[in-house]
Amino acid sequence: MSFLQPWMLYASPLVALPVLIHLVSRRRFQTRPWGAMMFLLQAERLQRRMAKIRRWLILALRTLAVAALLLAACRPLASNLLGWAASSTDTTVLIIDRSPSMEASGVGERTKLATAEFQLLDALEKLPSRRYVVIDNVQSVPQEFDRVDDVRQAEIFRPVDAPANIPQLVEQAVAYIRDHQPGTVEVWLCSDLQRSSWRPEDGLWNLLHQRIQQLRQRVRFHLLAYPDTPRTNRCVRVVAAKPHTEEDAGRKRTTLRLSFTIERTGPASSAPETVPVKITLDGATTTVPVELHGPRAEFHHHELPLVAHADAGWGSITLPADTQPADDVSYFIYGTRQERHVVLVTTDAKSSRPIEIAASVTPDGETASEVLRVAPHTLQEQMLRDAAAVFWCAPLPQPEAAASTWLNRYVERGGQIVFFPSRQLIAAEGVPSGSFAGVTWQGWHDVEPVVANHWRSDQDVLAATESGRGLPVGEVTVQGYASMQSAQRWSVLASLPNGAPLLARLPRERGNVYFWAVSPDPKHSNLASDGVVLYVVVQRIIAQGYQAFHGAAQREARSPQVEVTNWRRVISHRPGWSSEFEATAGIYEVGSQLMAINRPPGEDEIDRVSDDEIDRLFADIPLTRLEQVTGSLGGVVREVWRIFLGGMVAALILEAILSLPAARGNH
Amino acid sequence: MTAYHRHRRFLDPGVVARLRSLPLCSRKPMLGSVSGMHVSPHRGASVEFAEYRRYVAGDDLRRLDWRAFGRTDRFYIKEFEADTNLRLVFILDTSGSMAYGSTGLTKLQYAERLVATLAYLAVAQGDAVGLTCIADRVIHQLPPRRHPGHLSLLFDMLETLRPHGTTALIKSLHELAATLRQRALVILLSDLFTEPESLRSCMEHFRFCQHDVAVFHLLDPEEVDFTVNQPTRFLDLEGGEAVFSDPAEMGDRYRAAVRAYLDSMETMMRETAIDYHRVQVDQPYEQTLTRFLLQRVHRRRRR
Repeated sequence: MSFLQPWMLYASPLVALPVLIHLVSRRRFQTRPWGAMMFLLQAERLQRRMAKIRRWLILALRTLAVAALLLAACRPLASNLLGWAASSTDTTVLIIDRSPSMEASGVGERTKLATAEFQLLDALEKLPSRRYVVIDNVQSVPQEFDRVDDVRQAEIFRPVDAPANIPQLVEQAVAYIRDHQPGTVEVWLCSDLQRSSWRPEDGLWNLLHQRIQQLRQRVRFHLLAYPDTPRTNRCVRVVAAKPHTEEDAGRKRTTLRLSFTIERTGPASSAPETVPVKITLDGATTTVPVELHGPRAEFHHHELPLVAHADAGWGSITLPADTQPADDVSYFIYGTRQERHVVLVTTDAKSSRPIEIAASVTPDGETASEVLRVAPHTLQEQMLRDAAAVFWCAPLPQPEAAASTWLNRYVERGGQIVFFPSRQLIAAEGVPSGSFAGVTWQGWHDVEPVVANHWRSDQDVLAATESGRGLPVGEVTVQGYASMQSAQRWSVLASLPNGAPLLARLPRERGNVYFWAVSPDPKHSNLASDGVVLYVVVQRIIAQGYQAFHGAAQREARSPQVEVTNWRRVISHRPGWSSEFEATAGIYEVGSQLMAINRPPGEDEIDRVSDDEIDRLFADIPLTRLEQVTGSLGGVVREVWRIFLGGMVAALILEAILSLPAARGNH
Repeated sequence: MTAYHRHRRFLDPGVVARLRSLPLCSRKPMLGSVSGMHVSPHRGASVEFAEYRRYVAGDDLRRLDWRAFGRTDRFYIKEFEADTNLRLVFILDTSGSMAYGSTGLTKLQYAERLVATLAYLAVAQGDAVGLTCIADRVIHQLPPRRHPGHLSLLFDMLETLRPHGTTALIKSLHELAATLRQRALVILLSDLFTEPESLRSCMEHFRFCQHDVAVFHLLDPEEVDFTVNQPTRFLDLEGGEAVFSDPAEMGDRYRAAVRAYLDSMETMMRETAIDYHRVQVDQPYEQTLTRFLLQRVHRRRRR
């Protein structure tokens, strides 16, 4: 049992007060001679047993009444969340899963997130703390608050469409605790236990174990879980939207061929059903009845008429509202795809060959891909015009050089540049003095084989795959690396055990600049020989650049990473803040281009992490699990002093009843 | 001043003077040594006619009723009642429990007043008076005598009495019933703190010996009503083990036990034809004696 005012327990010796009074009153008896002892003995013999029981009962009830009063004064809580000392928490960390699956509603149309907000804030008001830190899957940095009201007013319990990476969020919490060294810490984790968010196979959990064990503070985790799944649910997702032109009787006719899927869950998921699907195309809405005959329905090349010569546009598909509104809408844009151009600037064609191979492959097999390999001095700005990405395996350009200017312009347009250590740097042929965006190479270090021990698997190019499986970054073995220095703030996406960055990103207004500290040369790393990580990183960077340069783009919602000052919302089903555009599904106009943002496919999964898996993930870590029902208005932490007060009253009434006959008889 | 005329704390001349007009009567014929005012089982020479009976040889011719002979031509002896004195024996319980008194008067002091007054009245009407004090055994025994000087001895004995020791009432009563040689009026003064049924044999023993038994059952009102109202350690006046008790818890049961005891005692006394008087020591002893004497006058029986 937990108490809000445990110091009142120091008064617990008062429980013995009735016993003490009883003993004192027994010592204050009078002594008198008596003749009729036979009646006394007879009366004693007759009532000794019952009287003793009644006497002890009365004493017990009086003691009980005092104890109940004391316990009520301690303000006991119904759940054993915080042990005996509820008021000694220094910092409370709130990890909020704001993923779209938390928007599922339950009793009283209250969503999981709203229920979590009610229950968690109610609990925090009862369990005061000196500081509150909020970590969610939208904000990249922990937010600090001094009061619960501040947390309430910050409106952090708004759903978004970005996925949650629970191990990553826990890692942020652990990093905060490690950096700020607070006192006793309570970590509240609100989630629906969706498997795609928890990623139980992620290797980061093992690292988290070690880091939590190494913390010097007393850290307790409380899992506020809402694992219930919607009884019946429909979700829609656009697979493809391609304009199609054909000649019909000598007249060109342009249509949009729309492919989408509708999945149903629940007991009636196999029953035939006609669903009115609302399709919005460039602002015009059409309702199409769709026949569903099974749990999953795929619709291919559903044709919608387009305005002639329209080569780009946007639209959405909306299903009738159900208990999970986040998956009832899917946005799309359409447009023509163009050939991918990649520029590889290198002074060592041999060592940069793996990069060239990785960049020359396209995932869909349809889009053509061209890799242009040039030397630094032969680079022209024309080459960068339509380049999806630039891979730079040469000394950094001098700031005043033309190449530097071209590259800066390219990045400002949304270009992606990846810098690798050059051959000259590795061979120590005089450390080049070039720099880019304030970053310079400091030198080359040959080391014993080490592996990356920390990387961002929740977002950016090292993020886990859609199935939730993390990239094998931990298997990247490094035998030499280049140290870097940046004049600007950068994001370290992966680092070595000694803290040196392995992969860093300089976020720019539109494009991105990446710095790899290792070379794909097999002598220095296994990036090429065990090329999964290299291939995925190269492809993801190219995809980012391609989307930036080639008009309409589809993107999954993610935590905001770029400035969105030039973003304009065209349509969205939720009124998100502009700072959270990237995490909110909808159609956005970025400059002159359109962008469709949708929830990640993993959010449609109904798989939940099992109890055993949670036990395994939090093995040896103090964890209190509180499984709640969505929509419940019952508090997680309930004060139960009324029960004790009622118990005291009951004890006193019983005591009075037991004492009453004796008193009447005496008179 | 002689010992006889000395002031006795237990004898009130006023009470004696007021009660003197009431005779102390026996319910049964008594075998006295001299003429008195009590009925004797034998025929005597009083003025009160008893019966006629046939003359048998050896009868005193002076008692022959000649008138009856003249009318019937048969010899009849005319008999008259014989009046004799009685032997009044007081059995006084002097055990420790008799020392209790919540009204300013202990049960023993109350009993002393009863004994002294009745003894005075008995001697005054020519009856012999004796006193036996019992506790765990027979403490004192003063045989019945009828001369006034004996009264002084009895008073002296009363003055020396101190309540002490336990009660062996049953044993002592049986012993006394067996040792009293002639019919007597036996007056028992005690709180009778023993089981009523155990007293039954004693009373039947006395009745078998043709004694007229009267019992003054002396009780203190506090012993009956149990008005103690706070936890108390009760010390046994007869030296037994002390008992700690909370009257609030066992007052009801105490009073119930007393009621049952008194009912049982009264039943037993009625069944054994004992002249039973329950007396609470807060009652004036004169009133007690008046009621006692009057009841005996009404119950007086001839042979």
